[in-house]
Amino acid sequence: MTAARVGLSAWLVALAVADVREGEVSNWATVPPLLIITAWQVLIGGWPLGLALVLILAGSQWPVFAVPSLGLMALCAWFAIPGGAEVAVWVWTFVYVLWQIGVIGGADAKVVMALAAAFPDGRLAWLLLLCWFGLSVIYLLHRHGRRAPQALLKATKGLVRFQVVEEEGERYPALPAVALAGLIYVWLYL
Amino acid sequence: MRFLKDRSGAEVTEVAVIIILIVVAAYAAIRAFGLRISALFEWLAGLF
Repeated sequence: MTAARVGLSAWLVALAVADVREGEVSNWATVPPLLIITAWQVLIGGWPLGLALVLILAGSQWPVFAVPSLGLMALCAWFAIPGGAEVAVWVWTFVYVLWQIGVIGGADAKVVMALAAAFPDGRLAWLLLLCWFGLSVIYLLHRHGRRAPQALLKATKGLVRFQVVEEEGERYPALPAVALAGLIYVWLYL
Repeated sequence: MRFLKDRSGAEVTEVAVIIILIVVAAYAAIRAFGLRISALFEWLAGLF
């Protein structure tokens, strides 16, 4: 078990470092883990996850299928309840929507999906959300200082008009937050 | 496959904070009404 923890930790740290340095992560580090873990879940009876992955791939490939695929993923979540993998499908759905609207990148999405498929546990889902929120608050305070509430209000107004306001300046990569959540889960709950 | 080929890493933005706050508020509202997320998905699945 310790070897698995160390291996997983090394993978997460390498991903975070690559994101901080280059702003992107090689697909060799994200796609095989996602496919292998999904295949393993399908083999042990978690076929709704396999179907959910097919829906995500189809929805991302053909825009006309993007919205129907979301509805069908809700169906997958329902089918995943007996196997206990519904948390993974919720997380996948959330991540897929965020990727479609451009809030998160493909690398982040695939890492979160791989983690959620490997550990379909509500605690991991909350940890991911908490770490992302923590990093976001640090970012807000660092970039805007006392003007953080105004910046938040401006972004909210943009969102209401379906516009994402892009800020110039220093990069704040999100993958370290995902890696931190994974590390906490692996060492505290696994 | 567009999704599998996308290797970009996201940046933390104000939008992320807003989305997380909306998700937490929605979850709190669902629980406050005594519902479960599973029940919500069952309802959604019934629409299709």
